[in-house]
Amino acid sequence: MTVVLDLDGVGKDFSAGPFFARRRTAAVTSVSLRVHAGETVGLVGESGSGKSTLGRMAIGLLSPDRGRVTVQGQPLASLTPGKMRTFRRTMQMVFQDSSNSLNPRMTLEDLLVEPFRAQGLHTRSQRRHRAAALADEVGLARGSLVRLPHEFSGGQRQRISIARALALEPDLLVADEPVSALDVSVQAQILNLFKDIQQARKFAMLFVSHDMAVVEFISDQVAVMRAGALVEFGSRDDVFDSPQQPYTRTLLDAAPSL
Amino acid sequence: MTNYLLKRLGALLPTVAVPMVLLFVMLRLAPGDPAAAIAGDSATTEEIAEVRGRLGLDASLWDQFLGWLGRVVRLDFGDSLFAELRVSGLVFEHAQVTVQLTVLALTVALLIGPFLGIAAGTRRHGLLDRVLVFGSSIGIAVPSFWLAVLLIAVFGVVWQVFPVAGYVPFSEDPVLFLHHLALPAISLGLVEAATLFRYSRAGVLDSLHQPFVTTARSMGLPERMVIRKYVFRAAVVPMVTVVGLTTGSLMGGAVVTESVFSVPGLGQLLLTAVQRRDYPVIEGCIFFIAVVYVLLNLLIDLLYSLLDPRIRY
Repeated sequence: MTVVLDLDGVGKDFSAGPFFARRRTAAVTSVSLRVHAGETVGLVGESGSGKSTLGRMAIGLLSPDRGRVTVQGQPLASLTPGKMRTFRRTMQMVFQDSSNSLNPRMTLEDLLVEPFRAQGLHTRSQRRHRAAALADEVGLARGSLVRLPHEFSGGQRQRISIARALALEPDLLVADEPVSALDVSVQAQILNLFKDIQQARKFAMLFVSHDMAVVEFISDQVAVMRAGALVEFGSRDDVFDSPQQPYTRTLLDAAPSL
Repeated sequence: MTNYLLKRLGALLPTVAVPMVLLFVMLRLAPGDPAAAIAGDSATTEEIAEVRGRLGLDASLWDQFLGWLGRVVRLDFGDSLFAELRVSGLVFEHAQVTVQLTVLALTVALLIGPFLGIAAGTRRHGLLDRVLVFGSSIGIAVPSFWLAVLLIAVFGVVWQVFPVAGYVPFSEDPVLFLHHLALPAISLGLVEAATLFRYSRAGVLDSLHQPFVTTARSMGLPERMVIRKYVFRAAVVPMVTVVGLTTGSLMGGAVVTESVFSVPGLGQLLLTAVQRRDYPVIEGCIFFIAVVYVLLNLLIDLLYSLLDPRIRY
């Protein structure tokens, strides 16, 4: 299997605190991690453990202070801003908050056409055609192409976000807590959608979540983060059946069993 | 939509009627007597009473009100008490000048304010941003008539590139028209530009950090388009409110600035009318201003729905 995402000793610091006592804290100390094509790596950890920061570095929304991010063999740090823009089609992200991550002034069709427009792909009619196909793929009615984001439910909005991320046929998809804002019943639908689409398209996925049950359902491999460091990494069954680290055990115990 | 428009236009009536009635009462209660002013300083009590009778000001307040109401509902404000001129003609003539000045001032403000707001907002804490924020603080603090005097001193007296006062109708000579209105328009426009700058900068800063802007970037949308399509569009809505309201107050007559430049606008007409207690002229001016305000507000609300498809009527 080809390595799609290669994080090599990646770290990021943030400065925080009042002006005269500003301190730099490491959100991510140094993490190395690989995600292969067709594989889902679940990234778990409590709030503030640095999982979202890591996810943002993986698709170049944040640049790391240490280490190297390589996507499809291309080190992100060596890309010029212009090249980076084009390269973004290789890696896409689904954000947690679908109500804010969709421009409230754009209709579903505009939202689905946007990725093509951003990359200057296809003609106008091809774009519209593809937008409709994307809507089908994520289970949104074509009749709703004229509707605005606030007219959709939370689950439907997340479907829109997924469709937009898939539009450019990325090799890497980072999903940052994509279901944590949804009802449990809707969560299941969206998780199944992720699984089905990944099986069809074979992209590599880094799935960030704080919910052990979600991670167990979606992941092939599981990475556990704590205080900016990777504390455990292994196949899903290994991590869930025989966790090596006491912290992982604590996380598993803390999760309510359904 | 049609329903909404009819409802809003229907609301125009009470919105204009209330200030008109209040104005009628307040004018008659206020000290000062147009009859005494017309009759002159040396007039005897009998002469003043005679003038008052001629103007119909000796009737009871209630009778005066009924007569006034009868004329106003037919949009007839009568003649000025001081000159044999129709109020409607006077207001129309002066309002024309004020509209021209307002349009020019707004053009100045809109050309400068939003543009610099985006430039500063997208380069937050940079040198340009700091300089512009400082400059706009001064712009907001300074009254436009002070700026007017300053501009006259510099461009009118020292360099003599612009006339210090006066007005030439557009139909007479478009170049001279602009030449004369340039300084008043700049002094009104710069102050508005400072306010607009503040609003557009704040709007840009606010929307720059919206998650949907991050999403757009993560798709590789060129930064230029991110700013134009996402950031600026979101920042435009509050600006429309500000522009609408300032247009309203400019239309009400930038009284002092008009006086400084001797521009024969609505502000000047109103000021003279108040000084002389020229009731019909005051009423005509206020009626015009009230109607303009209501229509402007309606226009702003309609613009909202155009700029933000979530708003539908």
